[in-house]
Amino acid sequence: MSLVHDLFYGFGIAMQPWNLLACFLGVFIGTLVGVLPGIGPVGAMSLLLPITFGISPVTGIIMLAGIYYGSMYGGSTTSILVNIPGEAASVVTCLDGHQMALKGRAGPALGIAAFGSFIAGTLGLIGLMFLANILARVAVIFGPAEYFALMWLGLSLVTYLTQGSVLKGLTMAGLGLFLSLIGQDVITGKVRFAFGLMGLVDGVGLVPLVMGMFGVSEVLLNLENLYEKREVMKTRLRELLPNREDWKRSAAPIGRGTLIGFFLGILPGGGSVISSFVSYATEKKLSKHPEEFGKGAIEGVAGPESANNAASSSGFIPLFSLGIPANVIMALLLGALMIHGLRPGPLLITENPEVFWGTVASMYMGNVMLLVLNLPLIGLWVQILKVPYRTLFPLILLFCFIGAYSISANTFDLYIMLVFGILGYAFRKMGYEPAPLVLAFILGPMLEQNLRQALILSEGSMAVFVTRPLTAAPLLVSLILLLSTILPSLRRKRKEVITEED
Amino acid sequence: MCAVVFFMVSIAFNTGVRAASYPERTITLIVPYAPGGVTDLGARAFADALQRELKQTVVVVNKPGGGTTIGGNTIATAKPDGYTLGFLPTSASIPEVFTYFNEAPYTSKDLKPAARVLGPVLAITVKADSPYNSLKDLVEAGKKAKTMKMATHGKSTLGYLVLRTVGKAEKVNFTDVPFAGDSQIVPAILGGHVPVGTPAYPAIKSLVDAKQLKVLALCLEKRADFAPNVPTVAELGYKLAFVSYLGIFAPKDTPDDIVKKLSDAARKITSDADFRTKLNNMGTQVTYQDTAAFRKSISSYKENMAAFFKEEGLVK
Repeated sequence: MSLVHDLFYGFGIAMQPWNLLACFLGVFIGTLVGVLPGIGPVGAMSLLLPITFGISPVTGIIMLAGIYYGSMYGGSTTSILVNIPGEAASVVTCLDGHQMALKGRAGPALGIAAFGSFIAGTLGLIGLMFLANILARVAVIFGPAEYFALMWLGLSLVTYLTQGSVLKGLTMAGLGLFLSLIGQDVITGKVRFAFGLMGLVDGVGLVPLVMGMFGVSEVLLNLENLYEKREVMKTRLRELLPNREDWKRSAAPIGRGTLIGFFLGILPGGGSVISSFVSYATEKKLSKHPEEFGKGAIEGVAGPESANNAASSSGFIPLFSLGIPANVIMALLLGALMIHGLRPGPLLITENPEVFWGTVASMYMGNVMLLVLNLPLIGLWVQILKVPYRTLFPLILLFCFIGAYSISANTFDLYIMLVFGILGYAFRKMGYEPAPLVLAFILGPMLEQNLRQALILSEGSMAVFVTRPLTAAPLLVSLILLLSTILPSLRRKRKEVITEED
Repeated sequence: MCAVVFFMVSIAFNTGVRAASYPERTITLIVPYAPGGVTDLGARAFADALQRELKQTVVVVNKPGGGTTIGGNTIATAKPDGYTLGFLPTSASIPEVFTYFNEAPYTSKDLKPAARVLGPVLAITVKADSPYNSLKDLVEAGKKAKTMKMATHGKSTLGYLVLRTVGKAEKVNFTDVPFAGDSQIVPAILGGHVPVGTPAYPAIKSLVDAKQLKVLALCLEKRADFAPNVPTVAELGYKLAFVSYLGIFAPKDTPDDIVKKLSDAARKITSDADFRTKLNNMGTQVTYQDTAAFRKSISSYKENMAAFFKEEGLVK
């Protein structure tokens, strides 16, 4: 019962006018930042950070947290409308979300993304309240060997992200892994594959890569039929909200996405991006009609969008219970707490209950505000599709440039974006999809570092990967997955070729 | 010839005028890290104070990349008018000793140090239930074992240097397991995956208070304000080749009176109680040095580090 008492106490704090205003400002800024492609929550939060020096820590954290989970809501909007992810966590939403929009179903896609985010965000918060201390202990059980096994499992999911040829998907994943090797190697400290370019010393940036592969290449692709009438877009924008059938198909994916996101969000370095990929792969595997994926299956939007929001809730667990930031955003929040003399960690909940419970309660309210804010916006967003390409595309490019530049104020990132824009265009023309590359690019460094750390710790013995259940199990599952997807898909491919010839 | 003289005179005259009224417009403070880390926060707190001290807007611009040398190079190539300054760590201010790891297009000669401001503090840390209660225990155990593994930020960092220095003095074979940051080092120690590590103090502060981790020693020369009971590596008898620092740097041709103004402002800021509390809360040591003293420290660190890397075979 004390939990209910604590939560009421938290609401008491979150309902104070200043905190309510901070929460609203946070989620409002977060929505904007999420919608604009490339402009992520980190930039907005660090700009507003000095403001929080002067206000009470609870108010500051409520606002900064609002920007974070708010951006997770908004990130899917451009993925669905124009096939350009607003955030790295929304890359997979492009796959089916944009296809839905092409079929005149942008409204339901945006709607299910908003509802899924709301449900997952709220359920994630409940998990955060009940399980914070237990799960924090679970997170540290994962050592380098366990992380390696988990990342390996994640990588084996690439086969589910491909629409066409599995071989082409694996090729892209291989390229993604190679690209992730560029830059300073954590183990030796030496720079690899930078070819004397300073801009490559810390590796290729994720945002310029994603903006190029998705944003710039999308614009290039569409230039081909610039003067064609966009008939698809102008057809039925009849429904703005998901219908009964949509809900029926999305309920289970939202539930599973929430669970996946919640658990992966706890692991430092895991987080929302990976969970969205895992959720997509899971839905495709479990679906009764996997052939619809990549062609506008609503499950492919509902699952990943739920997963990344659940992960943004559970990402607070290692921060609040161990003081370990799971990602850059959590590091920012950690700093904001510490500058006020608070100690995020095992003692925070007892020493500063107002911060923990106030923030948690504000997040419940923030999620409601986001739903109220986002649902009416759907009508407005859908109108964007009616803007002619010749006006829309320069704007999209402009935002991609601003986004890629704002990450580290470096013009080199703009060249990176352009190079990947052209590469992405060529890849897509030849039927190579960018999503497997992005997944491999994100997993690559963690895969490599954890493998090498595990081997240094075991003094070169490979036995660590098979003798422990937490390493052996994921590796075994990934082996089964790989075999079960590659073999039948090769067979199916052959069958398809034959039927096409008929 | 005449034109050259005129040009030089006019530059000298110009800078003279500018220095007297400096600063008359917005100052940009380059931070060579991504936003969010403790260094970035320290820089923002400093910029906030500098703004009030100089009565002029100070904008923080994050220029991460190049292992901090992109930010450093921005300063090395900036106009030397005092309006582009850098909040730089060791790796960005003396890039020439790190050439084994990364080659930067500039050296410390292209920069002018203004003042030392802060010092990030690394802590030799073990799990609370670890059998080691002091650095001596760790060393004794290490002497008996074949190797002692340690989680560090990598071979170019202070944590590696400290444990290798201890190891050489005591004949312990410390093997480093490099991690990509504190958020990975801390769980590795907490989960018992590595017996000892050198995370930054801010990352473990709350876990030490909650008795989940123990600090054996801090990688400092003098005891930290925020942890007066924890011994330093130096007082336990090991000579530190360098101590990490964060300082204000300007392009090399910046007029001396502008540098002096900045150094004086930094002195006032670092002696302000409110600023010190803020930084101590984050587990960062405030260590002011004026231009001359800072320049001396840098040149001795440069020599010592070059010697250490040579011994370790980490030279190009």
